[in-house]
Amino acid sequence: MMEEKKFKNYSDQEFKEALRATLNLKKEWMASVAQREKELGIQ
Amino acid sequence: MRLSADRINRKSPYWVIQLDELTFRFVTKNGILYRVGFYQDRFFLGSRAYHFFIANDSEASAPKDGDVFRVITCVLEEFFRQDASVMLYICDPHDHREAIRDSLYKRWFNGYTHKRRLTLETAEINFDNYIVYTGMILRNDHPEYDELLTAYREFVQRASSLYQIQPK
Repeated sequence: MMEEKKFKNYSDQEFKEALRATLNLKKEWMASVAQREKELGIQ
Repeated sequence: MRLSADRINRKSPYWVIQLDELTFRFVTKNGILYRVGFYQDRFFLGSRAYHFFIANDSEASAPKDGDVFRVITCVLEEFFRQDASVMLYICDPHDHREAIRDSLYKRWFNGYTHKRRLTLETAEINFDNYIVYTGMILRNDHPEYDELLTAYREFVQRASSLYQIQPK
């Protein structure tokens, strides 16, 4: 089964929550980049 | 998936430093630090799709610099070296410049020398009082091209049933 079809199984509420979470992914990405730079000792 | 800073730096006007498999940083001649990378999708298209992000450390809008555009082209070319690559983007609305970002993606795509190899599918989602500009880019020879395009369109349709959406 194709993984990309998984949103089809979401309820409306789950879909909206997933959309909101997706809109926050940039913040999550930036936090992960900051953490990685810290690990590498890069400012 | 692991992208290569070595390959990017062969063509990039700015020296790119690799932070991890999918993330890079570079500093422009104006001293603006950019971070650019891909982040795996978890919610809609699954592990084979990656969100593309770019951020700079300038609080004001960064000065116009065509070389930034060229670096981005090098990074995206590296990403699309693999036929199974799927890139998603959502234009950051935090400073109300999302429409400008969306037009930059389209400008990049339309000006890209090898755009015939790629497909860009875009949509605008009217989400809680603001518009979210989003898009998907994939190679035309992606092994699951039809399925992914259908999945993206189904996602857009589904969102349109929950929000007002304007597919393009």
